[in-house]
Amino acid sequence: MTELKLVFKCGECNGYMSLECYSNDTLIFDTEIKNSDLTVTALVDFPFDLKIKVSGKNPNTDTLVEDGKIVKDKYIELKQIYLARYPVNVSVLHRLCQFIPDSKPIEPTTFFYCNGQALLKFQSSDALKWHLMYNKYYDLRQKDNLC
Amino acid sequence: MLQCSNRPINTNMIDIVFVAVPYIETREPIMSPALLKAVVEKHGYSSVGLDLNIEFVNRIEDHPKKKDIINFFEFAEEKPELSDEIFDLINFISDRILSYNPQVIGLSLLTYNSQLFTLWLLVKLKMVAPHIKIIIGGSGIKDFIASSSNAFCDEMKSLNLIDHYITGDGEIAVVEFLKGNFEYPGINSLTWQEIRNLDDFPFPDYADYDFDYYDVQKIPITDSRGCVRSCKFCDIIEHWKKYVYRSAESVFAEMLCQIDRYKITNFTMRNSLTNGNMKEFRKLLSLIGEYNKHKLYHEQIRWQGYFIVREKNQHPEEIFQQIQKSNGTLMLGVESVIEHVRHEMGKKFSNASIDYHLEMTQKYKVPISLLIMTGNPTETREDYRFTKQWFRERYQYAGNSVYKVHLSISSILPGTEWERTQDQLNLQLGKYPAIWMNQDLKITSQERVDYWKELMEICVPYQNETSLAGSSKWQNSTISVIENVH
Repeated sequence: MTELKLVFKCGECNGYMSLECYSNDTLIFDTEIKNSDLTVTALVDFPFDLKIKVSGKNPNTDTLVEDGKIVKDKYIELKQIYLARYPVNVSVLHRLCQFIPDSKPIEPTTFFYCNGQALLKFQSSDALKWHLMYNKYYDLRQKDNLC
Repeated sequence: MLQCSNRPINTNMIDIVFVAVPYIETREPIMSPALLKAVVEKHGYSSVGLDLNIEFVNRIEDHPKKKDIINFFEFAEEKPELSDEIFDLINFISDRILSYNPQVIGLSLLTYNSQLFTLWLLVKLKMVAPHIKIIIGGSGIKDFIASSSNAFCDEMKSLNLIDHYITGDGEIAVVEFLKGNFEYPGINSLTWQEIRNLDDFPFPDYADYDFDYYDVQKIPITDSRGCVRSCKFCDIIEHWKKYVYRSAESVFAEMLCQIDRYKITNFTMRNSLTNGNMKEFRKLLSLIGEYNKHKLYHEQIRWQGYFIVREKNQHPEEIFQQIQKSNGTLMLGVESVIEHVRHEMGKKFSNASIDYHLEMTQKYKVPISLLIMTGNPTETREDYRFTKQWFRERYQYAGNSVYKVHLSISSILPGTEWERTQDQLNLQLGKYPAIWMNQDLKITSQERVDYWKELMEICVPYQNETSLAGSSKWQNSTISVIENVH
């Protein structure tokens, strides 16, 4: 089993969205979000598809716009994923995360601004192998490359 | 016995396994695991000391993608196509460590080139054995030994990939760590305490090494730490601020002990200089000379070590005779053949002294290599011309006492006097230590690389076969950094 850690940022507007996480369609986490920072940890088996379902947003009432600017919004943003304690590089994460909004086309984003589900495929036999194959290593001497 | 872990003691377990982590560009034994094993065993802890660098080096030796694998670990070059090979190598090292069933793993990083391997090894170890405490140490936990940055350790700790780290001398700190005293200087801190008496520690125990793995069977010995000189380019003196040395008797006793244990008579001094304390040095030469007198050539002790140049009256002819009898090989820290440049960097000996050392080592058939830094901050284009001519005029020593000239491109290392006095020297520093310019002389880094290449050509007659390629990978990477920046 491999430790999977997900770090989210949650926007509040008439409460927070709901979140469910699945590994190969097995529920690994669901919660009622109570504040803007959320970190969840679970054990998963490689290979796996990570599905993140977000719900509970009413598009008519849960985004406040003033003078054409969003001043308050209900959303969930996936900020970071750690696999076996090591972070997935942000640029890799952005390519990896396919968000499927309800009744809208798929888009590659980690910002979940409406109800829908995100899919991230981790199709390797092992977390280390996945990192070696897909993750962008950071040069330890150039910290700006780190997520 | 072990107190740093809350887990119940399992008598089948080894208290601590010390590992020299790849990748170090060497086929010689790395001493730290053997030394730390001896130190903790003296205090009653069970231990294993492994040089896994040599096992890694041997494993990739005939690999068709050897160069790519090394570049992956040394320079963080992305190689997704090599993921299977890299994965297997990390698994191999991880399995070797875990086969000893340790309670604690101590990873020793000799240089920063081990950081990337360490990172992926940590990911693997914490995946398969999260209960095992991991501590890292060694000069390679920092990018530069005198750097004030602790970025690698901080990062590994924040990711929970390590539990602790030790900065600086580890001999006392690692025992204190095992006792559970995390407050000892150097444990999880950049502030550490230098060891004052190197004779206090047991001789390294290489019982877990297989000397057949190495090209040349050599045993490393530390006879001193720090330096008696205060060269402005040097970061070693910023790390070890006080020069400490072992008694000749102790060093010689270690040689005899290791000969008895492993039947190896070839020793390599791991130090900054062998002739720091002339009294102890000459005593050691006498002890070895006396020993060698009664042995057949192949049974005699031989050694190699760094050597500083001194004026003739401080290095009388008898010393070279003694070095010959002790089968010494010297790595001579000349650094520059320009007197004013040497004086400005804090090396106050004359050019006549260099020639004297060349004559003496030739006369007594003492093999030497010359350590030269090219393109120093106060070196002019005229000095470049002089240096080239100097080497041309001394070809009589090439392959005849001088078997190698190590040419390295001058860098302004973090924490050194050169860095501190950059304004005085009117230096403009770049992103990397090799990138800088003296604003008065206006010699660019690229110009210095071109000069280095020219000098390499001139010095070809001095290089023995193995060094014909001319430079280490580190030097090549320095050049590529400079050329890319330009």
